[in-house]
Amino acid sequence: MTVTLLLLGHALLLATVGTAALRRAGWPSRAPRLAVAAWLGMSASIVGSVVLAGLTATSAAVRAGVAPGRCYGPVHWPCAPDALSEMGVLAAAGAVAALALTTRTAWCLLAEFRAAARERGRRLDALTLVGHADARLGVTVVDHATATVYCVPGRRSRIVVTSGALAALDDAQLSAVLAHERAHLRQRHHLALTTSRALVRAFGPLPAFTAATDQIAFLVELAADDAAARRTGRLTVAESLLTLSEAVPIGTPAPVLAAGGTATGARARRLITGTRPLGPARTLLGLTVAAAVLTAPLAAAGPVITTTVACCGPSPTTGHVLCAPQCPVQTARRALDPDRALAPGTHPHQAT
Amino acid sequence: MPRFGELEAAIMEVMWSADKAITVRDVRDRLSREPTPAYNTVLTVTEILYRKGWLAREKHGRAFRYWPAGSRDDYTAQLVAEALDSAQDRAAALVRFMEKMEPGEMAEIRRALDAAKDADRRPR
Repeated sequence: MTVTLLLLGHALLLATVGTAALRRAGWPSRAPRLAVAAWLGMSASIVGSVVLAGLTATSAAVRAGVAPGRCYGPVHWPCAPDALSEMGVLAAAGAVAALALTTRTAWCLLAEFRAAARERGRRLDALTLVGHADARLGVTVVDHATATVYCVPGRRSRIVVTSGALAALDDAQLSAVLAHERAHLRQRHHLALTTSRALVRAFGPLPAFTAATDQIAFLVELAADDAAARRTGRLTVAESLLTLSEAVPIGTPAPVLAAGGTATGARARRLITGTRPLGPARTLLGLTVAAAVLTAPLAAAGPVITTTVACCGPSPTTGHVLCAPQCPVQTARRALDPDRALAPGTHPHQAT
Repeated sequence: MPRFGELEAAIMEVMWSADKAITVRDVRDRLSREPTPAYNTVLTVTEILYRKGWLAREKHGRAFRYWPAGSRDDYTAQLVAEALDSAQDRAAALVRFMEKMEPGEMAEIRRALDAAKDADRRPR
């Protein structure tokens, strides 16, 4: 039971304090890829610990339900508990919660990835029919005066540039933009984006998951900006952002990320000021913390669940779930084997 | 063997340049491809385009006549509109280079950028 509460506390803490802390932290803009990993790791850890909390609740209830003292009369051990008490209800509830959560997560991941793939397929069809390939640049050009650039990720990935964008950007800016898009594709940013959106789909507007989605969308842009800046210099990347933004017609919605400007504005300011990337020591520290947050629930729940799985099993006669009392893992299987388990004098709870 | 998408594109090209609804036989005659694909291939691909909503059709005698459901410019405009407006991209099908900034912000960033470039150019 303690482990269950610890796991739920872990999830709650990550969903509130952890989310707020990571959102306010300054280091993500210096190590955007690490921050993407941190957000994904935190989301996974929240879902994972609630699932494991359900399983540990089941495990605890199953074992408590057949605690010593519950067997009365001169019956052979293992014996059925006197009644399927509230422990039985708790055991069922824990298992159902864990199963429901796992199913929901898996289903929404599948649905989100399929929706994205279908949508991409539709765009790729349209691009095949109205766009034309520019072999020199390795992009698909769409003849339209509006300047815009994007990439369609996936197996048939491609970078799309409008003729308006080609006209607006000079050569250096164009190579900055293309380096940015290639970084998106190479670093497979769409996997992180789609995963985070699937969690929002699964668990509604929980701030932990909506924050993760918004932050990851911004952070992958920073990661791609950094890759482009390494190729063409950060001021060129900033200039291409500004050039394209100036070329987009007035009236296009400008999504606001935070008070004081748009996400694109924040990126441009960051490129102009320059950022010092996080040093290797701190990156390693961050990775370690992320790994610890991710694996702690598993480490806490693992022994409890494996012991129960090893010590408990259905009774061959009654069909109830029975556990060997004070079960050491090694002897558990033997204890449950009815032939050996029924040898006289081996069971302290045989009779009262 | 050409890639499937290329034949689809070539057929749409024919449809967009035709001034009236045409039969699959007309399409095949107007395809400027060497070697000309088999009639059945053109028929199959045309029907796929119809099912995907790119073509409309109407029965004339024993054969269907097809015409494009939308002009090339319509589709191009739609692609660009979807690319500009993230609200339309619910499934996160694409990653766009940037969103539009506000005018005041653009002016502010232009000033900051010019200052940074000046500082770079000046010998230290």
